[in-house]
Amino acid sequence: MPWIKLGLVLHTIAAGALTGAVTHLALVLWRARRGRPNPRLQRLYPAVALGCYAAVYSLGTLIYPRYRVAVRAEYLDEHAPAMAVLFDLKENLATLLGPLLLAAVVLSREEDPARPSRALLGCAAVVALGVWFNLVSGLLVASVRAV
Amino acid sequence: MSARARFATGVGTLAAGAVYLVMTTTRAGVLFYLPTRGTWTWSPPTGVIAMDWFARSNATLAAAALATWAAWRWAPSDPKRRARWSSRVWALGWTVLAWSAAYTAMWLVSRP
Repeated sequence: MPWIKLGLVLHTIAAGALTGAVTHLALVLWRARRGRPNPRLQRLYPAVALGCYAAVYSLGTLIYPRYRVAVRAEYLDEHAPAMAVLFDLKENLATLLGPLLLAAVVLSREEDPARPSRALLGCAAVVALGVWFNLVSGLLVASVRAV
Repeated sequence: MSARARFATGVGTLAAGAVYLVMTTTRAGVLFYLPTRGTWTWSPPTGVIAMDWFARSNATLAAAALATWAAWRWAPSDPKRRARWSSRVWALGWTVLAWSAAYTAMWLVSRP
């Protein structure tokens, strides 16, 4: 089914953009807490990240049932069970990162850009680390039969 | 305003972590999707592929959004009290989220 492949490609592109946005957000906030704020980027990156998260989540939801039957049940469970576990871990971690991303968006809009709180920096840093883990995990699972 | 935001987002994070943990550990209120049949059910038959991720994930995200909105609206009016509760709620929220992630990892690794 070509639309499944298209969904997977778009899901991957959105995940890459999400990783970039949250990584930059964490770095910009880290600099702001050291006296070098950038108000424009501190408001831009959370909005971009939220849009990318919504895209990744929606596209992932559409292609997940196909993966569960045609990839996991028919191949991974028998030949690469560790990769099936890694994928499930990634999916559940993505869920847990959602509330932290929402918190980062709200806090970045309400706080003084020159004095971001530790809660905001913590949310951005944890989401960035989690999204990097998910990006690498997704790449590993998708490459099981590739290389 | 930022103290109110910290309180509200802390409550949202705590609520999301709690909903996720309860739905993962007890399977309470979990609606399963059967991808081979294209149907939803509260009690999946044995031997059929059933996905609980959709219900758990959507409930977690909805809890975060609703609790953040509610806590924003009904946050304590006293700034000192709000700041004190923000720290507590955030500490609890981080703990529940961390425990949820650890529990999920242990559950998935030990799954037969």
